[in-house]
Amino acid sequence: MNIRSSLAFAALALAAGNAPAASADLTVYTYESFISSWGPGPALKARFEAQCDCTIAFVGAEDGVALLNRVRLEGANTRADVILGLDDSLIAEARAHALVRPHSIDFASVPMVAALAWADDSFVPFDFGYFAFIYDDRKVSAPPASLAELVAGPARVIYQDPRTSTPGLGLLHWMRAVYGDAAPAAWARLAQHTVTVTSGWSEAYNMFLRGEADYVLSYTTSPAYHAIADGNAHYRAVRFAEGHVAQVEVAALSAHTDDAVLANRFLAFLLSREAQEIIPVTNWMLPVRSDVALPEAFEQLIRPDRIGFVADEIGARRAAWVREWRDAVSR
Amino acid sequence: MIAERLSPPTGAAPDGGLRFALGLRLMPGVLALFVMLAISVAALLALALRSNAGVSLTLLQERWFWHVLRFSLWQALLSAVLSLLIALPLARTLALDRHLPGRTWFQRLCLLCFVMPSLVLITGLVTLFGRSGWITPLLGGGWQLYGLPGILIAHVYLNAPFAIRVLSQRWQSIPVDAWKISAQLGLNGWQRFRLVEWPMLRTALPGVFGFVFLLCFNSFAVVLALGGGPRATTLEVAIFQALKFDFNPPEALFLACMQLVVAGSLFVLFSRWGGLQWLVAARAGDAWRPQVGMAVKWGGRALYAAVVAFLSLPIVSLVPAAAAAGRALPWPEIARATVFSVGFALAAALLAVALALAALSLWRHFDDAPRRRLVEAAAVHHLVIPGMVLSVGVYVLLMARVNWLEWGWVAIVLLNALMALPFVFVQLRPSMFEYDAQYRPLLADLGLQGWHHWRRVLGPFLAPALRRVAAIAFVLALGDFAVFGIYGNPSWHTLPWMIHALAGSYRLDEAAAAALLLLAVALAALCLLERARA
Repeated sequence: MNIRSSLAFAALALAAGNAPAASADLTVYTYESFISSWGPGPALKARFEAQCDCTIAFVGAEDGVALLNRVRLEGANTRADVILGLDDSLIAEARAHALVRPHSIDFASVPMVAALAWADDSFVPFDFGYFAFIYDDRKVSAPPASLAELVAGPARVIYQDPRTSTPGLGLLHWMRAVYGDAAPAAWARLAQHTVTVTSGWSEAYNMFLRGEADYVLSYTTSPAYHAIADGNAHYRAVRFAEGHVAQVEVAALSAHTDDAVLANRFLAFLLSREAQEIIPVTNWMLPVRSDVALPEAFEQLIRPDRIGFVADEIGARRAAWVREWRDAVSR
Repeated sequence: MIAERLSPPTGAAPDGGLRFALGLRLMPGVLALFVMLAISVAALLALALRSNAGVSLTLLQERWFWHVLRFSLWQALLSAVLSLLIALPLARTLALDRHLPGRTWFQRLCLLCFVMPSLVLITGLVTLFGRSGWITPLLGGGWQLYGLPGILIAHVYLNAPFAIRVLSQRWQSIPVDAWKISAQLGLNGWQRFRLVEWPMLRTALPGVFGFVFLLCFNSFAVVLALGGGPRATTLEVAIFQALKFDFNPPEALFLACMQLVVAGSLFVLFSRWGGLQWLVAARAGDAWRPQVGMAVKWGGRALYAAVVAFLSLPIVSLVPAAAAAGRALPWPEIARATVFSVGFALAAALLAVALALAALSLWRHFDDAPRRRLVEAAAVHHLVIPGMVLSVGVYVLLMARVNWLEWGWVAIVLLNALMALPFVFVQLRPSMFEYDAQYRPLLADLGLQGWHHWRRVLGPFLAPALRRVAAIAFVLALGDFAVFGIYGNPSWHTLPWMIHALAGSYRLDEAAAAALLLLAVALAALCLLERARA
């Protein structure tokens, strides 16, 4: 027992010895799946390090919200130079707590996707996606043409809890954008044919793949994953006539970075064609540049109209929306 | 009564030298007590002082809050009752039916539930009981998994095995003499139950019930996913929301304290109900068990078969997906994650056992109920503090002084040890009690102390119990997600974290394969631990 335990501690001590961030030139805080071996992280790191003659270290939080909390908690103690992976619903809070500082990127010099209409002085979008309900065309032959049709029922739906997951929050936003003050009635209607509401995206998606529901809340890009990675073209996103709400993922300079020049270079790199070609097929979201060559499967995706509120409004109204949803669906 | 019997053998006031030696002997216990209490208090204080958002007491006026509290209690109560209803007859079968096939493996299977990532459990149960589940056709037309049935099934899955393990050990601790005498007296089954088995059960049941109740009270992801919507929300969800989404540490703290008070006082109530009056050590080699009736025997075996199927089918249901994904797994990363998972879990398990032993040394020394209860509370209260609250508190507390990117592994080991401590302490205590009841007067005569005492007498006596609790602590820490979520670092990824990352990027089959690997690692470790000679 004793020998084994000291071995374990030795292994742990060794691991601690090669911890990142202590020696790297640029520390990027992000969320976990971004830096996994199948995510965009490793490829981006290799490309950027080759051009900057520097080293990057990634630190991964569980997801975008955990990332925001982490930098918020750490305040001036943070080791982050770049904060990568917040989404537009979190921007207001990050700004309010002075966690970021303005970047030096000129969006006019980049062919940005028009639908984004991006002009923020602190946050740089690196990918985006429209929320959408996914179905299997082997099981569903006549998908609804609008959110109203889906809400009216009776198709079985799974979505995520807006208190614990960003897609869930996206649906909250979406329902509000479409129904306005009539949202509670629509939620109550939807609740009648909702199978369940999960805490995270993966539980919901997994349940859908196992045949528990006709529709699951995900992104318009989900079918591209199945087409490219599984060679399965049967999963499709429904296009709603009312338009779709988008999730824009952003990066920013940490307010406490000590190398703003290098951090700015990294942000600019994220917008480069090179990086924008890597991100869609590893993070399964859409590029923010309009001149990126993507695999064929991306061409097949639905192209919805974008609707919704601006970031600051989402931030300000979120708590009230959550309460409204909670009361409407638990009656 | 017990207190009197257990008071230290030194009746007269000890002289200076002896007092010093006594003090030295108590040092580990005092230190452990300090670590256990100080970390929680400091973490909670750090959180309380962290933000000026303020506690919104309006929460108490919201109907929603009371609904959540009521639901948390109700589902936990039902889950605990149901778990025990299944555990009781099965534990008896395990203890009395000497020819039950696969008993050892079953006991290991019982621990695997502790490492099961919630996503995997949810998927497994959906595969069995969902809309197109394997078992659904047998359940009739009106079957609906989502709602209370789903929550109860999941909680029985997670907790009945623990209860089975604990209770069957208690049953086995009934001395052979008691069985033999009951047979010689020609007691019938009911009389034997009432006179021999019930006294043991009466002391063990409330504690086990309280434990399972708390575990269900703190449940969260499973409740959300299988509960069918926010109607089924537990207090833990509210804490998670307050701490994570609203980032309102004081509110999270307030909710955590509510949970501590409500769940904690219920737990105290349950444990007070039980007791330790009737415990004698199980002796190895005593294999004699009374004959039970044919109906009881085969009924027990049928239940055993059903529970084996229930526990293993969700795991089996992973196999097709995992087999499809085997080659696509990022093996080098998985291998690294496995090494780190095992390293962290082993270190945490050893630390938890050491802490429990130290706390127990103090517990044995105290001869009055209040001080004993203080030690118990210090060791067990981690069960009601959400891991996330503790983790974030410690993080905030030391973040200005400690670079967590480098030293996070210390926190991972320490906090996981603390989370496992209640299980270890509660299960080790009866053994310690038995030991004192049987050997203390003898040892006082022998004057055996310190290392020799441990090496020659106490160590060998406790060895089986130590291995058992180390195994539980190991699997608990192996399945950790909450603590790693705060202190984790890409250089020391663990398997549960990999599973989460895989599942979060469409790789659900790979996640299933990694989950199978995690379960296999846990199983292998359990086999090794149980075989190891202390």
